[in-house]
Amino acid sequence: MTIRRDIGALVDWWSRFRDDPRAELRRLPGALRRFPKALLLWLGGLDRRIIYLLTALALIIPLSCELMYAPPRMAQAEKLFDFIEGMKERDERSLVLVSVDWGPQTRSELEPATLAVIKHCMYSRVPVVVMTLVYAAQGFTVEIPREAIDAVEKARRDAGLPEDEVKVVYGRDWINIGYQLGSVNAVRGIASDLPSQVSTDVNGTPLSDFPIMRDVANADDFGLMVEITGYVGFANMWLQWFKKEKPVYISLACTSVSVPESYAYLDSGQFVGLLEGMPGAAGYDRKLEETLGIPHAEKTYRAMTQQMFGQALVVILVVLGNLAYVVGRRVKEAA
Amino acid sequence: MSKRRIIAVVTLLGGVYYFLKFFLPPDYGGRALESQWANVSRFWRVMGSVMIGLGVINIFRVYGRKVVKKAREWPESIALLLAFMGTIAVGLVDVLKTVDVSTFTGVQAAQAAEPSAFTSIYWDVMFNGVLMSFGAAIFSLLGFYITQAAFRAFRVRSFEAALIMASAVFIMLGALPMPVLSDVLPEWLGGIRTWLLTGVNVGVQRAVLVGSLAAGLIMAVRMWFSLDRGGAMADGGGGLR
Repeated sequence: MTIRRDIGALVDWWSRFRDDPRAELRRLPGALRRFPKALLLWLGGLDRRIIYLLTALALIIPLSCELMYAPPRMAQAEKLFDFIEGMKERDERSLVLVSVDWGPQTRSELEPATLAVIKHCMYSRVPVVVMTLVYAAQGFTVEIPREAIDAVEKARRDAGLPEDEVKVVYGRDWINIGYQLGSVNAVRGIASDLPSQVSTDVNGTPLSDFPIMRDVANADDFGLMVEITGYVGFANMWLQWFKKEKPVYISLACTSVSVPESYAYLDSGQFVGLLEGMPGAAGYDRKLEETLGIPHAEKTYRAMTQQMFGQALVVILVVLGNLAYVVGRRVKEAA
Repeated sequence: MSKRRIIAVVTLLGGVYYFLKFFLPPDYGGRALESQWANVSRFWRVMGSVMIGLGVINIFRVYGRKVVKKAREWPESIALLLAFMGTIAVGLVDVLKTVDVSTFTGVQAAQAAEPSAFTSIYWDVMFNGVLMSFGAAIFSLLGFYITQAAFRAFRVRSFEAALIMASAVFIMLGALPMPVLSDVLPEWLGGIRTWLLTGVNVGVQRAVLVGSLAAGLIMAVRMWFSLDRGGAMADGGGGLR
């Protein structure tokens, strides 16, 4: 066991030092000269449990110390921001469909993105329809809009708007049509004939009772579709099937691991914007704060700071691992 | 006709519908096929529900047998079956209590049911307490494995490996807050991340996409005509006689 061996070596050294401190101190200059090389060789065989411990510390310490740094600006997230801002002036189709297609596994990455986009739509009075194709996300379609409403109403109050302009009204400013069974078929159904696919909102009230849904027949009535997902194939599914006659603008918020493949669709113009994992969501939140005055979600900034420490550890370990590899190879060659 | 051939015929007919619906011009049958899309869609949803039923039966057969025969892992099988039946019972009680069967329209109606206090607590414990926490915990383990793998396996053994490592470092650092380094690092470093993602990466992703789509097409054709190993039209499968 490497840990036992290392601790054993340390205990041996301590007992030697206690027995004859002077002898140990005489060895010190030589030991110091050999130290960097010895350290790197030791690092080369570092026990995996020490790496797990370092990872845990890198993630726990920033959270418990409540460290919070502003995220960098994300150009692709700002494209989506500008698109939603432009919807108010651009054309008559200003309805946004947000599909919350993620589960507990990717919650930490995708909840901030969902919150940021819904907050933006609500604040800018762009009507938003929330739904999900994932059973496990049903609860999020209720919780996250509630959180967004609180943030938006607070921001409006802080901006000094009169009370009747502060409220976000269900059925006028947003609606939750809940979980839709059937994956591709649900997407195709909503795209071609929404009223026959979805008859009621999540509470069982007919959609025709809500002003937001009164004239909505199919995909042509949506000005933007925002897919938020950590699952493989979901973004492609919306790209392939969510259309009727007119082109539909689609945007994606995905986990960091899916970012490279999403850039192909962004480059071709099939996505109007991209929220790249947690950095994308945090960058979007920063833009909301700087441009519209909606306070950023603290948990998003904290999570981003935590990620910074985690990734910095990865970079440091990669560099140290390679130095250890080079030194180890030279030692082997010399032997 | 054997079971295998029935499956092959149904698969073939299913594929023919989609193939013709896509390729036939509207005036030559395309419109007629398009008009049946709602029925076909409904059929797939019904089939999806049948599959759920089959899954339930299968779970009871597989784990019930383990419990009856006291085979290996039988206590876990009991836990699975109890949790399974408990969840179904709690869900059904509320649905049946509040939904008028004559107006039952599927999931939407089920969601309209107002849950009782017990059901709310049950969902809260099982879903938010157990499922959500386990899901998040299992997924977060990846972070630990990735850190360890980065340390152990990410070695600059060649020029290509060095390029990959440099790209990874630029892409990671470009998306992170830089509380201390932002004043020190030059701005073009952030530009490298953008160039890697929008330039180099996009070309590679497109190549991968085209390759995988070609492979997917071949697989689809093999499935459509049941040419896969064990299929009715595969070598030795006997054909559709």
